[in-house]
Amino acid sequence: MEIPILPQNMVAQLYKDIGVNLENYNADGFTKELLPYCKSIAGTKVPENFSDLMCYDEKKSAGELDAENSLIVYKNLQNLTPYQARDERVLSAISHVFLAKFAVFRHKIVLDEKEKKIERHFFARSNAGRDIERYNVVGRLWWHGYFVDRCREEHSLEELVHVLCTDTDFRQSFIERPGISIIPQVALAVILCKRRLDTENPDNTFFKGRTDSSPNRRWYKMINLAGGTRLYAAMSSQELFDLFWSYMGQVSGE
Amino acid sequence: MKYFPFKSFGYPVLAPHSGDQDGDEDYVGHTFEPSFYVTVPPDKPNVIRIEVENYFSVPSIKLAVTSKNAMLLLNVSCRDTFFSKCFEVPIAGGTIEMQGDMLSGQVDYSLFIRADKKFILKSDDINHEFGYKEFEVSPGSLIAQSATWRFLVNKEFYRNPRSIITINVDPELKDGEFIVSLDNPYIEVSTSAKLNKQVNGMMASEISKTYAINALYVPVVTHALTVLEQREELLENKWAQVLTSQLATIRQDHDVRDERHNEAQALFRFPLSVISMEGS
Repeated sequence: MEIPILPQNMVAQLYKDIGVNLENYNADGFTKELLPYCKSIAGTKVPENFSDLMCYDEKKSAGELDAENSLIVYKNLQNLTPYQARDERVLSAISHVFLAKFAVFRHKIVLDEKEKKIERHFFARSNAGRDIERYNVVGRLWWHGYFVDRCREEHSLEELVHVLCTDTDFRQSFIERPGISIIPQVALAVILCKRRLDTENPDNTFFKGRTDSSPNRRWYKMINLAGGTRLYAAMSSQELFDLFWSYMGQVSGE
Repeated sequence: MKYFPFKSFGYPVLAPHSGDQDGDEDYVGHTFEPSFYVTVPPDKPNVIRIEVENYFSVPSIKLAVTSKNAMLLLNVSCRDTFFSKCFEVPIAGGTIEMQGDMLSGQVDYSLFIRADKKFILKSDDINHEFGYKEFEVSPGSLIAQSATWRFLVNKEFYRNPRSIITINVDPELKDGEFIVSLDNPYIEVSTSAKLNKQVNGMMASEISKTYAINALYVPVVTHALTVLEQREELLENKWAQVLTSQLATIRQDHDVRDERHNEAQALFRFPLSVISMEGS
């Protein structure tokens, strides 16, 4: 079926009525009730059993789960454009209609802070829309897949999504730096540095810590400073990888 | 000439006028200020076109481009969609096109001249504080950069301003009461059930629609524009981008008084969809 889209008035009403509808936010969700209110996006496709395709393996870490599910979401929401994937009407529709069961599982939406978690994971409105790639149950997974796909060149989507998502410290530190992450070649070079670091030193703690003295903070700072006097967007991913890898060596050696 | 250790390239870079004292420029008396014109072609509604017009006042930099030692690059980036791309631009200027659905919200763009080969750049106008009138340019280094400009991609920009206002029912409100929230992408208006029913009824008829617009939508937009003036951070929200962009466009062809309620009326009197129809 085509990807549904809720009217904005309905999204606003649902958001306002979270407290009233608290019991509906469970594994069975709103699936059937909301579809009659939705229009659909022509040319797109979503499997009707989308929820069943998701990975619910409790043995996996949060990062591993996100990697698996990013790939599932990105591949199964066919022909969704970046413009549409920034639209709360689309993300709320998918979250409510298809992914309630998964949201309850992944984000542990039970009694504790239930309203706050529903606001975060079923909607996409706070922080000028930037919570789309942080919290919305479908938005965050789709954007991780898209983030890698737009920059991966000849590399494997599956492998790089795992590199991006599995270490949640790395993912968070990276995606939240738009100055670095929006340029595809820069993004790829950073992911490839992370991959090589993990291969050569599997027990590294490079991306742990968020203080000024943390290695990753110093590394990003070096990348940012060099980017002030070069046009990264016009450089190749190989040139950037060589540069960033040398910075990583410098930081690790300090 | 001021030196900013974290911004300086360490060599002369042609840049836009900084607004500082004359003589502060890296190339004294020269600035890099190309013209840009952003449009959506009528025959390609999903395409965003940027036309670039160049003007070079430093002959040696122009020569670097014509002799293919350097190239002009238009860098376009969009935070919301993680879009970033460099487009090569001919020396005389040119046009680049992008698919609109790759972009959303604020899009930044600027023009650069980047060296592709090693060469010597000479100019008598290089600021004396550098201590030289020629220097070796290495491949990959920037020799000129324009200011960064921006445009906004919101399909609502081309629709009636009502498209960025949502209305929901709050059972705690009575009769004609309504409350407005501006902290979300859309303006959210909560009304009493009674008012909601009345407004919906009036909007269904062409005759009574004007009353609904003047009774609810105009006051809401008036309030939104007033608050926006005091809280610039709200410009991050889609409704603020749409309203300000639409007003700017309407003002190109119509006189609109400065008061917020007049601006709100103008937005509903001349929505861009109507203007587009007038123009076609």
